Amino acid sequence: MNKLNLILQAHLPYVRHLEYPKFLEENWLFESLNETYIPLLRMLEKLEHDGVDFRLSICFSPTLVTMLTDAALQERFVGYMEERIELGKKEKRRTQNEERDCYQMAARYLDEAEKNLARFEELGRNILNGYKALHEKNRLELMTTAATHAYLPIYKDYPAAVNTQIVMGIKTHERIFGETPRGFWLPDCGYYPGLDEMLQKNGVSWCQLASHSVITARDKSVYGGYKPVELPSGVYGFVRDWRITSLVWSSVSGYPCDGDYRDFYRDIGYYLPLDYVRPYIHKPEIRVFTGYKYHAITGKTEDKAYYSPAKAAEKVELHAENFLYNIKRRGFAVSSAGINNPVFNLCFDAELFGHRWYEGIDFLEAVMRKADESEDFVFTTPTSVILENGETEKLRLNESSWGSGGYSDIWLDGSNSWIYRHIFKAIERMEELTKRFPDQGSLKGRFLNQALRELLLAMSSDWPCIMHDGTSVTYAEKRLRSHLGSFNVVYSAMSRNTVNTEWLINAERSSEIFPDIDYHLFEDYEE
Amino acid sequence: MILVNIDSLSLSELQSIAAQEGIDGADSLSREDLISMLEEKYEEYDQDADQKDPNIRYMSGLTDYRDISKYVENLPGVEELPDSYPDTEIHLIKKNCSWLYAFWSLSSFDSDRLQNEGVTLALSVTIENNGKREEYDIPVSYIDSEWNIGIPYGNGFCVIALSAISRDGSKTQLAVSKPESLTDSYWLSHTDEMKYNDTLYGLYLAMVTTKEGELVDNPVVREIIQLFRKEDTQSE
Repeated sequence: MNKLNLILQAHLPYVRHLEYPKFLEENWLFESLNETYIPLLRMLEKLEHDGVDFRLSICFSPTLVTMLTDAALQERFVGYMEERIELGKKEKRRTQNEERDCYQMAARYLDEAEKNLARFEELGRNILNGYKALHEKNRLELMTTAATHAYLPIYKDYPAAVNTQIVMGIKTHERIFGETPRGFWLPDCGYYPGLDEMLQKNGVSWCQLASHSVITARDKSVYGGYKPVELPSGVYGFVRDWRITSLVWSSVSGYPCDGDYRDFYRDIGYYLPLDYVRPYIHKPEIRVFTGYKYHAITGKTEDKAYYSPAKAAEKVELHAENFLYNIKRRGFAVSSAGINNPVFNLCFDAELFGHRWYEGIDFLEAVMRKADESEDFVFTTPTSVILENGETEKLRLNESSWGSGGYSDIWLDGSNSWIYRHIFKAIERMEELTKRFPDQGSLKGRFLNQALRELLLAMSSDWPCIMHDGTSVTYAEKRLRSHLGSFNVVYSAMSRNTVNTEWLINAERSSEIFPDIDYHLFEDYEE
Repeated sequence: MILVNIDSLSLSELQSIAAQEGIDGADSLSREDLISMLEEKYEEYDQDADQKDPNIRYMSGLTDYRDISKYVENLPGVEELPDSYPDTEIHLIKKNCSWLYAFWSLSSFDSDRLQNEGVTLALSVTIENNGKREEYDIPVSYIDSEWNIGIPYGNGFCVIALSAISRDGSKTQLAVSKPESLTDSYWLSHTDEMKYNDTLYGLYLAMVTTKEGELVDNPVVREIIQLFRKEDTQSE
């Protein structure tokens, strides 16, 4: 029997700009909700309804759950969806008359948007209620991650900062889901020796690890990553299977590259006349994705064929079969090496399914249904694997990540190395503030809490990653400078033993995240 | 793209827009005056450009920066960050298994004092690997503030110090980093053991190789594979 540990990570940076009627980067959330988080939930609910025996783990990052439970952003999402629905109705009329090859998809997008909005409203605009219900039915293991998804190996010289990232991740999970998570998603699989000890002190039982962490370990592994790794602290590590995940993940040969699948980039927001799409793009005339896309990937050509849902559905079936076939084949090979019931850890970014790969959620559904019909596979969760008390092995690992090269190159290169000079200093100053002002309550306490909030937001791995990728760089820089600048406001004022009340109120309003933050976290940590 | 609500703009944002629009003395005007003057300014634009969307005119002042990175520091709401901090300190971060990234700062007090004394600076690198210690200096200038340090594989650590070298050659440590571990892999030093266990080798490879034979992007894995192949060839 092959055990399949599907672990999805749903994360977006905290983006909330209520000071503007519309804000481009808020679309990251809205697109992910409409194309991944709600359709994924609906698919899992359908499996549950149909009696399919499935299990998986999902990490909703603290920044994402904060946005998903934010009333103002929920309201904005409704507005976003109403626009999509209005556009869908126009598209049905237009394609019926002008571009009949697209009519079926226009109708499908409209139908999906209406169903997504309806489900969103049914859940009281909080989709986490739906995921929580599936968790209570033992279908999902919900886990957390670092407070702002900080890439932790870079901060290992500052245990108080790393610990605060862990604690606030756990506290946010407890506040939203009402229970302590057992699993902790290491942001970008970023591990360093000693990190597991901090996780263990905070009650974490398991985390996921990069694929190469076993072959490069300090100790000899017998199970090669097909059984849980017991880290020095006793926390279990589940090693991502690069071979199997590459079947999906590879940008060259992965299933999503198939020519019959829908093209991500060709969107009517970019090619229909401006007068037509103007109400659905950003003002004044910034073309953006609308979600209405009618072409197949086709190949490396500008001349894209119209998308055929029937052809794509056939490919989904074929790829789901192939995926399980490859696991089964590996299972035989691993078993022949004397490892029975191997555990395949399949870690992905959730947004790949539905958002980047339109057919991705159908693929997951097909895989789960086929696995349920077979005696060769069982979907499980890391906590279930641990509770079975099966074989594990103790290993000491090196620092590692799932980023390019397997270390920290993405978050530390020529485009972003400058940020650490400022973030490290802010961490040191936060340590200084907690020592100088150990017993502040009321206004000064809030002021110091805001400093810690700004520091955590500055530590997000998203900003250096965006700088590295060269996308939305200006926004990332602005955010980083803004958070560090705000931190410095508190530091300067507290150095004079004053509180800028008006500034504090505005800052608290603009970053409604971590309401239970306590600056004493920095002071309390003991190595 | 951002749509700006005029009522939500702060005084500093309005001042920034006004300055960009060429309104004199924007820094000293009140919020109400700024809004009034910007309204007048934009009304002129509207007449000239037949631009009727009231949102658009407030947008340009805040959104023209997009994709023009050099202007980002002038954005309203974005704080200036200092080039350096008034402390003498040094940090070391692991970039990957072969390189560490070091950055440091020198307080202006230390900088002035040392330069007056004719002192030169160096990065003093200490690498302790499998019980052996290697030490060397890298000369740096007063305007340098970062460096990449090459490291070997092995069981040990690297630590660096920012050192002051006096005219007489004596060396004083100004700041010392925390140690950074080297990458120590069992199979880098036990490849002979691996060649007697093809099953284990195959097991390891399975997880880090695609079905097309592409190896996971990691230098240590590549090194292990190369060492194994070398051992395997020699044993034939």
